[in-house]
Amino acid sequence: MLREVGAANAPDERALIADLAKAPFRLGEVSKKWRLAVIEWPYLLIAVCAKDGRWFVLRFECTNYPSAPPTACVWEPDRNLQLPFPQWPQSRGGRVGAVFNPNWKDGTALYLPCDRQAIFGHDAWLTTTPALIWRPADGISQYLEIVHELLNCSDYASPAFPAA
Amino acid sequence: MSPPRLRKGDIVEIVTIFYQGEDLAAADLLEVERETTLASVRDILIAKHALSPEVLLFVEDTDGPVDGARLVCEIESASGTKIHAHRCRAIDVSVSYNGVTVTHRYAPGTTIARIARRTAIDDFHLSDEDAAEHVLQVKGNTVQPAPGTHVGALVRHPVCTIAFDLVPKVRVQGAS
Repeated sequence: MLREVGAANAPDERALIADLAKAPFRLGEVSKKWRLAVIEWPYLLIAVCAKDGRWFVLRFECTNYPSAPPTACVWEPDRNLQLPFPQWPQSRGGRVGAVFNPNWKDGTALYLPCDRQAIFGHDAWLTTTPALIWRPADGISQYLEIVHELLNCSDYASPAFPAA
Repeated sequence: MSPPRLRKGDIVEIVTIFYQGEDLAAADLLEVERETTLASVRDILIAKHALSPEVLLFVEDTDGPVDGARLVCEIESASGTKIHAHRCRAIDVSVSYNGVTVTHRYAPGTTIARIARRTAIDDFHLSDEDAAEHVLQVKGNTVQPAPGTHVGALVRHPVCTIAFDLVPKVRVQGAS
């Protein structure tokens, strides 16, 4: 469901809407990597497909986009709440668990250098993980590409719960 | 024989073409009728982006430029119709790993994902799983192009070469 967007949007909302119409985001949709669910500014729900066919919904908060990175957490749209931790993407002890980490900020943000909450206080990431630092020119598609790659890598494991 | 002229009220089918290319800062898209020739698509791209008239069109992950007489519907793909515009017919791609460098020639529309996988498995003999844990990084800097990036998008004619390092994907460290 895509909410109709009015004409009097703020610059950050207009910038996001423009990025959703660009080739990288559209191609991700066509390739079934992700799909847009809802825009309720400044929030945005996008489902990302994992290698087991599950779709995990991320709730992005996009204030001051794209000069400021968005921040995202794993969401349960039906209850409009954060997804319970046991239903999160699981890890075999590698990269996925470092990013989908319920013990960090109570799971309110992904532990990613391109996340607005996560980058705060992690200046070392500018040199240790430069490729994962937020790039305003690439926008929301950069964040989604990183998450999609994680959900489709060998470290990803399905949660025990059946897919919704 | 020329195609029949469209009349008012006729319904035409539109295809979205995703494209990358030389001198294009980012991937872009174009909507055209299914019966459009690829020569016409090329002309549209040249006009839209002030590209050199020497550019050739390539279909993603295929060898050699496309025949301009072919129609868009002939290259249409459910997972996205993707093309590339470039003056280089082929690009010499060098990849270094553990002190060894190999070079192969690819069409400009070849994706970084395809090059990384082929090199990791065929040349450096990594397992499927290990290959998936590595990524191409442009030699001399920290740029790791997205897997769907066409190698031609990183190269400008007449220099039809590029060098990468094959590096492990980094685990994000530091969570407390």
